[in-house]
Amino acid sequence: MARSQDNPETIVSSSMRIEGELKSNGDITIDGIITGKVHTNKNLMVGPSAQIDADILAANATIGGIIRGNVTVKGVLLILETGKIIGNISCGALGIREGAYFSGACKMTEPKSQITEPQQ
Amino acid sequence: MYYYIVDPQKISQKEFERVQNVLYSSLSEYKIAGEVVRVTGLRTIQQLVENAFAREAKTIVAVGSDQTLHEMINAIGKREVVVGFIPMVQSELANILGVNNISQAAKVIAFRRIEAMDLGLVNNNYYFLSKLSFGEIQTGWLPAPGKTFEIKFSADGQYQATLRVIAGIIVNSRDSQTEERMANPTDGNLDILFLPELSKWKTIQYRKQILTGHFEKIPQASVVHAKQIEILSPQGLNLKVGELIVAKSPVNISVVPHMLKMIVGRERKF
Repeated sequence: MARSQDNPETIVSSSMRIEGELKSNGDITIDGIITGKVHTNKNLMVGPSAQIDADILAANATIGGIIRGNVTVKGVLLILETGKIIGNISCGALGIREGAYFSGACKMTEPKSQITEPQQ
Repeated sequence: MYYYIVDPQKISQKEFERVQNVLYSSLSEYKIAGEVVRVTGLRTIQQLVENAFAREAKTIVAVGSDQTLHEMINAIGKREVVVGFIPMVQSELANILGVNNISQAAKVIAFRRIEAMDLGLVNNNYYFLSKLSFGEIQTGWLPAPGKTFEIKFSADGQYQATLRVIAGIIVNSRDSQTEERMANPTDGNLDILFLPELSKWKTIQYRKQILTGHFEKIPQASVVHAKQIEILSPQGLNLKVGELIVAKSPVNISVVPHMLKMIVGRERKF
């Protein structure tokens, strides 16, 4: 049987508490408590029960829990209704649902626009 | 030279004779005959492996159960040799390696498709190919999970974690009917799965996943991946490979990438 080449998902359930640096090459889902750093090359999903005191680096992130720390996302950062970020964010694209809380500075990557010469 | 270590521990004498006949005819059919030795009370797997090296065997084949293969791998240790497996009984490792029965396993050995597989290492003295389990789950039609306890562990020296669980498994490889991303014994990682406390209804609902160790499919389960994990507490927690207790916590478990040169079939699960 062929095995998928994708890296497996890391799941931090609501009863789990982590202190230190959580690094993964696959998706991460967090419902528990993390103090330290979170780093993934793939997608991060932070559930409503999650409490994170950490700087975060991910490809894309959906935030439904509480984060105290800086969030750096290369792609899309989506803060859900239950999401709360206290810290600076940096992302390629940003979505904030009504009811979400965000306190900090926001820096976004400017999309590369193609410069076209006017037609004569 | 092929050196076959036949371990009849889990079958009756009558069944063993039948199995032995099938084995001899299969080895002859696929032209992989060699020295066939039998494990007895006086000749342990450890001693027979030493004999194999003394006779300069290039391939040592475990004929028996998952426990036979694990004992043989541990007797071989770090020494360079190709390993084969012929299952005599129902076997998870046989399914993982793609060898279903004696005849098909003999054909696989003759074909000699060799994979460098990772091994798990417990306290630097016990190797495992499949998985290590801890916590109590009484098996049966309806699994009966034991009491929850708090486990504390560190992973890759990068973080420490605590959580409440009923049981857990540290997976290098496992049998699976579906395509999956984890439990790949060639990726240089161990997958650590924790079973949370479940209601009776959830236990019935996820009965199959509990019994087969596919905890990641159960809500509220935790899953992490690491090259090295140290279980710090509780003290005295039994860690088992199959039914065999191989260590008690505190315990250090790591992966040794590509250590085992294993003959595998086309239908292997990785």
